[in-house]
Amino acid sequence: MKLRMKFEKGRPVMFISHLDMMRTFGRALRRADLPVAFTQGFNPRPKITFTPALSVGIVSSSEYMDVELYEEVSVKEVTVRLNRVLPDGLRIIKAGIVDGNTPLSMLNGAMYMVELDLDTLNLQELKNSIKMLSCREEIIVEKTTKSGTKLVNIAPLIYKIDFLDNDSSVRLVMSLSIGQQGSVSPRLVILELEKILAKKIKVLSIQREELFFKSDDNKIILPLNLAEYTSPPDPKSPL
Amino acid sequence: MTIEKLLIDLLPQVSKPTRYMGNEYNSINKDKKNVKVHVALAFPDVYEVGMSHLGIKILYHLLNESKDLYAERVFAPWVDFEDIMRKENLPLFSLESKTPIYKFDFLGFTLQYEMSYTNILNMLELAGIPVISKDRNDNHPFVIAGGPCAYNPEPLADIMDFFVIGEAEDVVLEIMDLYKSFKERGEKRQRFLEEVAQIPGVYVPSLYQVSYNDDGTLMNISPREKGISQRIQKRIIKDMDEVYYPTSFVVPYMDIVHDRAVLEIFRGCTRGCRFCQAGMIYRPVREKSVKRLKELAKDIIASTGYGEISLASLSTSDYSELKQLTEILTDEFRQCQVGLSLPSLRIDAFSLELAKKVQEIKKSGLTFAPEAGTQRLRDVINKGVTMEDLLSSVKDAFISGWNTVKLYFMIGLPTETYEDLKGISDLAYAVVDVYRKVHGHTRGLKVNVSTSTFVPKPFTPFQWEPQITLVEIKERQKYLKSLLRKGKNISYSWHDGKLSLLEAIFSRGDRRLGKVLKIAHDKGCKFDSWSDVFSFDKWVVAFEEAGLNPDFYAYRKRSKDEVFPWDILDAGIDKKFLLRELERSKKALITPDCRIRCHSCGIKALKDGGFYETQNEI
Repeated sequence: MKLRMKFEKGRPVMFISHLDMMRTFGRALRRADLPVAFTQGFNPRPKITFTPALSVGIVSSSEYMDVELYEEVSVKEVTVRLNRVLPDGLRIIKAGIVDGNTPLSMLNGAMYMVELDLDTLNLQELKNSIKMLSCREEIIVEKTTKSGTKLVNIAPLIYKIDFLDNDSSVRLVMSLSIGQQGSVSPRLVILELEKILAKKIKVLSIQREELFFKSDDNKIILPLNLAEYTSPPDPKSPL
Repeated sequence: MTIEKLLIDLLPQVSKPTRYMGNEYNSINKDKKNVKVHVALAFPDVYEVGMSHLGIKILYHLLNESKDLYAERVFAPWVDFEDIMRKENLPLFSLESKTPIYKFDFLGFTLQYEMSYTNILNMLELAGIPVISKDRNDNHPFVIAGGPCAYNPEPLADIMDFFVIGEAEDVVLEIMDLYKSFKERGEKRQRFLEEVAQIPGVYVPSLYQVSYNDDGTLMNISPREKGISQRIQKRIIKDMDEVYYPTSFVVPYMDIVHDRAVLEIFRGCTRGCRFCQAGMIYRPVREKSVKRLKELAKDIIASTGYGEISLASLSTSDYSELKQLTEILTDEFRQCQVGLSLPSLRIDAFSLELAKKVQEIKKSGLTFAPEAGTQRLRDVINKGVTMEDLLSSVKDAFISGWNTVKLYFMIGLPTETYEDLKGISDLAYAVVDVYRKVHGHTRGLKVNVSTSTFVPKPFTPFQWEPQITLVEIKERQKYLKSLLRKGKNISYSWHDGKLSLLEAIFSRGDRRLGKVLKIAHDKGCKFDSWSDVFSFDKWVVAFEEAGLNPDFYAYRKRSKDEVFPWDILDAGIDKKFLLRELERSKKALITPDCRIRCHSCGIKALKDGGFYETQNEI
């Protein structure tokens, strides 16, 4: 059976890398004594898949993983047992059986909440700069890859930037592309806004809020629509 | 702002921020209000090196078993984070509660290699604790140290308040008990040092005076006052089944050097290799029982979730029930996909059989350590392995599918000639020939030869011997390079001779070297074992400024009646035995394994542990 779990990656683990997180879940599953299926071959690995990597230093309330078990265990039991042995900052929020229609590799969008420091910003200027950025058809940035640097147009990778403000803070809600067709991090978007504004923006926090699949006709599909089990809220939750 | 909050801003600026984050699974958080003694356990290197060390883990969990003790960890910050700490005036802090280290009651360092000493000074400075012990006052922690390098404590005598000699599980709790009573009495720092010196195994260097002869050698090292012991005997654990061993090890997030569960199966070694300090100071051999090890292994995997468990000891093949143990463990863990690794196997037919069974040992690499190139020199160092042993094991390994072997040697061993160096090369080529005989070709074969330079160590039969000079090291490496270059399948790597020289100086140095350490540290020496940070030139100047001659420590052949800085310690090994072994080495005479016959090394006088004698079957 294949389970899909939605989990949060909070402040205590905000600096661990994607690889660290995969290792951490592998060990947690063994501590939970769950019947995890392993790959065959000389170097067996647990059959777990994750959503695209989150940049180091960003917290998230919406990461997903699929785990294959070789024996039936109730969704609730898996969740409870795993939550008992996860380190602070990692917690399964809800889980369900995977239908097989939306593999995690299909996900192509992420929504981020970016909180900015009000003190140094002129609200109207900021709004204008977002508008300007959203209108552009070409935003060329230099990206460093394993084989060197290359120029990438990130304009099509920015789906939408919304603006929320209240008395105490300014928040941007960014819907950005992730996955195989290309990804852009919220930090890179901030960098572009800084270029337009010609000044520094102080970021207070960045949080990944949701991951989704956006179809060509702009329909949004969430990875886990039908959760069979939802964890009770954690009073200690750092988010 | 608390350190915790500050880190959220600072850590994104450094490489590998997880090094400073703490919060790992099984790390321990306690309310400081309920704690009577707060101990910082320090490893003077980066997180991923320090977290791979078993000793500090044992002490961490052992101390934290007691409700009123709180042990936390601290490692050396890498240079990028150190720069930020200095800029931001951020004091060195503990990983668990992010408490500044200067607020602790104790700061304990483990001394695993000499080239970590400058990091100790640097960490003290970053902590805001005076580097020199006599500059500390009642508000400072006691700075203490233990581990193998504490078997010559003298180079750090000016820096440490005291040393713990030998195995710490019992003595550390005795020290904690004394400290609790000392704190209640509200007495002065000096009083505690005098009291702690009464605990067996504790060496308080400031309570001893040192005098020197005109030629610079030691005349005497003796207590300043009556009632302080003349000699400090090492502590050992009597029963390895009874001794505390943790099961809920801290599980790091980042990929550390040895990222697996560790099961210590025994202490000590009976082989008696004459260059090997560990083989002498960790005597006698004491094993844990298979029954105990099985329980521990199960509990460790259940509480850590590690996918690999490694058997830790010197010469693992010598564990008396290794076959039974590995069978039980592989059976136990087959279902949950936990692999077993045996990193310290002597490679012989039996071990290979074992290695084949243990799936986690990858077919890509096997390490053989003949240590020396010719039979004569192997006899000199009492490494009881022959060329035939080696070649037949290598043949078995090749037949079983291995195609990479690492051959490890030392250069500069006492009596070494160029013929012995040629022997290293001959062995490497012989290994290539074996592969060709097995497979008919040499495609895919890799023979990695690596050499380090012999460093004479205290409490070994070679403690009287000089190290070869830096010039000579380079010559011999050059010679080996020229011989091995022609081998298509052979690659050669070597350990930096400058580091070996410094190791030789500090491993047998006296307390005058404290001055050199201080100057080297002030000049910016740190992470000396990291080639990208190491600066030999600074060390050369440090010796000049301190008015000390490195050659005196590294290159001088000691006379048999010379007083050594470490003579203040009793490691349980008779000097007479070491001298006998030195004489035998000069005649290239082998001394058999202690399991065959007792050679009266003196360890029996410690009256702890079991001892191997003739009645033991092999």
